[in-house]
Amino acid sequence: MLAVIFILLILTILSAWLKYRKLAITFFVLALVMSVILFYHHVSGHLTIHL
Amino acid sequence: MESTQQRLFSFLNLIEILGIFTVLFLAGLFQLIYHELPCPLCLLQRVGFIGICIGLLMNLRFGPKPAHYSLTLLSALLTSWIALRQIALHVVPGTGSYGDPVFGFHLYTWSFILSTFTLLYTAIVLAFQQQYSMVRPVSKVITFFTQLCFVLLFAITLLNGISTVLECGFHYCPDNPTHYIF
Repeated sequence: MLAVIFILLILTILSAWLKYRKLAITFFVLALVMSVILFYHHVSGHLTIHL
Repeated sequence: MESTQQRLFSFLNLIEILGIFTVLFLAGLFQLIYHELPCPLCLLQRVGFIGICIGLLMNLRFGPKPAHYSLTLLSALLTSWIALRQIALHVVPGTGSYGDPVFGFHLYTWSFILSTFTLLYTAIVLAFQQQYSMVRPVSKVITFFTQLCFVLLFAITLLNGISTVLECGFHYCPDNPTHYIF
């Protein structure tokens, strides 16, 4: 899943470089949302183990 | 013609980008030289730092806009939460730590300090209204440095992506990675 986030970031950089602003922001937001989901998954997993 | 204010705000953005580049470069250096494989939370912090850079680079590419600063702030906030989570995991005595300390602090502690500083710095810089009404185009020097930053950020992100695939594949990363799976 982290690899997918990095792919989205690469797509964001390429879109911004080629001046596709809205596309860049879309990829960026997707990457950010996936990061939050992954972070939540990590935190909730640990909480389950500790509880 | 480029105004002094335009140069100043471009310069401030560039300074912040270079600071974040240094962090990402040092993290990569630690991984390669000391063979310290980044944990999932460390990789997520790198994602956050790359996100900070992208927001600022969009300012240089498309001109300063509150939306770009917003992306930077969101990335910095996420990075600080992740770093804080990692600090919390190791804060209890006897729970150990991840990696070697640098100047007395572990990398995740530095990550928290830097992301919090980025939050503060960006919140101050975005408050200056004049930058949003500036006229494009910018000077050749700023354009050159913007292109250079794009090349560097692309290379850093690509290398981190390759390293992540080598370490975790396309699945969830192990909590305490000890070797590359490929």
